[in-house]
Amino acid sequence: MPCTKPIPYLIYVLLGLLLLSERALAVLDVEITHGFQSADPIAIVPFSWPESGQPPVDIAHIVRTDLARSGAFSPLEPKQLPERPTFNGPINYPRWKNTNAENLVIGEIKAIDQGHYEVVFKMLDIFTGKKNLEYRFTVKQSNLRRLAHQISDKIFLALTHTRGAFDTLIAYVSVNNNNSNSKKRIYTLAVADSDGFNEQIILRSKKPIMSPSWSPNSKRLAYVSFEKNRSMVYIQELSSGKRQIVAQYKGINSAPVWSPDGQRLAMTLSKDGNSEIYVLHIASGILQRVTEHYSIDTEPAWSPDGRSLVFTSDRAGKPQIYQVSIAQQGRSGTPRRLTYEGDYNAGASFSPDGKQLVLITRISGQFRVAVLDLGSRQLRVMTHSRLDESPSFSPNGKMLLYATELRGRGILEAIAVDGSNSPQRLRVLNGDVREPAWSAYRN
Amino acid sequence: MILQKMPVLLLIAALSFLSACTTTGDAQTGDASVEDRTGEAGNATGENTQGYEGQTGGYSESGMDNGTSVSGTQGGNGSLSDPNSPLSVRTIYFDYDSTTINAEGQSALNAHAEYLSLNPNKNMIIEGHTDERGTREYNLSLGERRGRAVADFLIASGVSAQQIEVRSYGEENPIALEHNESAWQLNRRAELLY
Repeated sequence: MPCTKPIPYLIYVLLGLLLLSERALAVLDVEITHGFQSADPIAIVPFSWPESGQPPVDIAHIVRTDLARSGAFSPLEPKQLPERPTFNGPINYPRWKNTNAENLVIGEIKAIDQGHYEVVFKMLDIFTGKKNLEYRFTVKQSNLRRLAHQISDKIFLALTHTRGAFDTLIAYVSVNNNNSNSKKRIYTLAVADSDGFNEQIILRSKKPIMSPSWSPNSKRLAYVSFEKNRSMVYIQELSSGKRQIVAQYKGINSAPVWSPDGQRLAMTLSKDGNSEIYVLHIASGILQRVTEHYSIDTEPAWSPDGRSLVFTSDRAGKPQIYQVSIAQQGRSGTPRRLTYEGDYNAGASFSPDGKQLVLITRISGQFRVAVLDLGSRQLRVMTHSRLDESPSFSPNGKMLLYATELRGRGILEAIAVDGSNSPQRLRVLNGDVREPAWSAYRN
Repeated sequence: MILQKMPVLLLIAALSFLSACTTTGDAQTGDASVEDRTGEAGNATGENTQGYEGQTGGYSESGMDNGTSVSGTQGGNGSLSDPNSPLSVRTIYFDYDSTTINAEGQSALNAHAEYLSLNPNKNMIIEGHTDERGTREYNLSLGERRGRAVADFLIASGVSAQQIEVRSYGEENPIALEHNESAWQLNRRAELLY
């Protein structure tokens, strides 16, 4: 289970936590493309703004979009709201009972001094009038979007008893593929809020960038860059931009993934002849070899307890998923095959509770996101697209994020793990986007 | 071995190649730039910290079309720059999910094997590439397997392993960007770079 911290103390640490830059490029925009069946209706009134004009950030809109994207909620459209009560104003409950919403969120945003804002909100049960939540925050303007995601998290937790994963980050690679002249391609590694806004480029290169992977504290990324003409593994600190090469062996250096304790990186190296899985102890530089087979072994992913890895291997002829136990040092266990359905299963990673894997499976020539239940061994195909890649779970285990292709372009999509919604597209305004990686919780 | 019987004239020719060609190496570091998230803090340590624009360091030749000769190389028998020479074939294509070198590829590689054997100072980088289907990291390994298949063929034909380096780009460096079989055919390849 995700941890459920006592909430109120967050209010006091918010100012200290919110350190993001003011650049809000918003290259990605969420496009809600389909409706929901089993989602809970909820009413979120646009936050009142005592001054003229518009507030700098439409918090209610961000919250509404977050909750809709999760598949768990079906927020009322603004035009469906029977009235727009202010934070301390009267509420005509009979009118709200005529909507199908069960909860009502009301808030206010006001400027307090140079660049700072006070935001208040509360959530009321429409049928009992009971106040379920009430918070007051003071934040810098540049942190208003993040605050909106934190409000989404509080509402999500209160109503679903599961920690929300809206105040998280995603990393992804994009390339401007407008022409096929590879000399003009520019690859970028970017980090954005979980809704795709606040995009910030952290690496730009004329050569391919691959496989971003978050450290467990969400402060560093490991990735593969070809900037020296062949694949090498780098670690980069987000706040400073400082980075180091951690693997530049002969052959392939690829697929880095952080261990849950943050001390080790599993990765694929071909320095000993062909692709094998290794574990690098970051501080000491010691390499621990995990696999030893003439086939391809790659795409390692840690189990949440850090005691095993799953990986892709074609030792049985076609790529399938295997699991191997990992000791702190010394020899690893004997790999055990996990997938038998179909002739192509690859790129697996664990759910946060360790009970499921998300992976790419091939069905009649189409590459799709599927969830494997490790208890029942049942494989559930989640998508209907043909070129899906790089799936991962949200930190609360409720959503999946992956890359796919739409009308010739790489895009990102998210879908609820329980199948309660259709794929939610993160629309890209330019370039081909790929390899999304969802960060851990940020605090 | 052929190498030991190599006439002096050819050795001279080979040396003239060496001086006339530039090799593709790791020398340039100017192909990436780091941007920090805060806009305040310092730049990368030890790595290139300049903006990526205007930096020197040519892209590797992997975007080259099949059969295009490498400009700037000349001398010897004119073979490397001769568009009619079998050495002008610099791309070996593969079937889906396969590392088998077809007859056409073998005939081109035979010419390259002979050339490399006669010119032991010449080096070749073999870049392995795949189409976009399937997962990226698995494809990176598949690309290496294709490159190794080409390298093994050359070594079996008498080329020294020291003259050859295999690099994989997986599906990251496609020739054709469409998402269909005709594009995928062009992208499943090994490129031979002198």
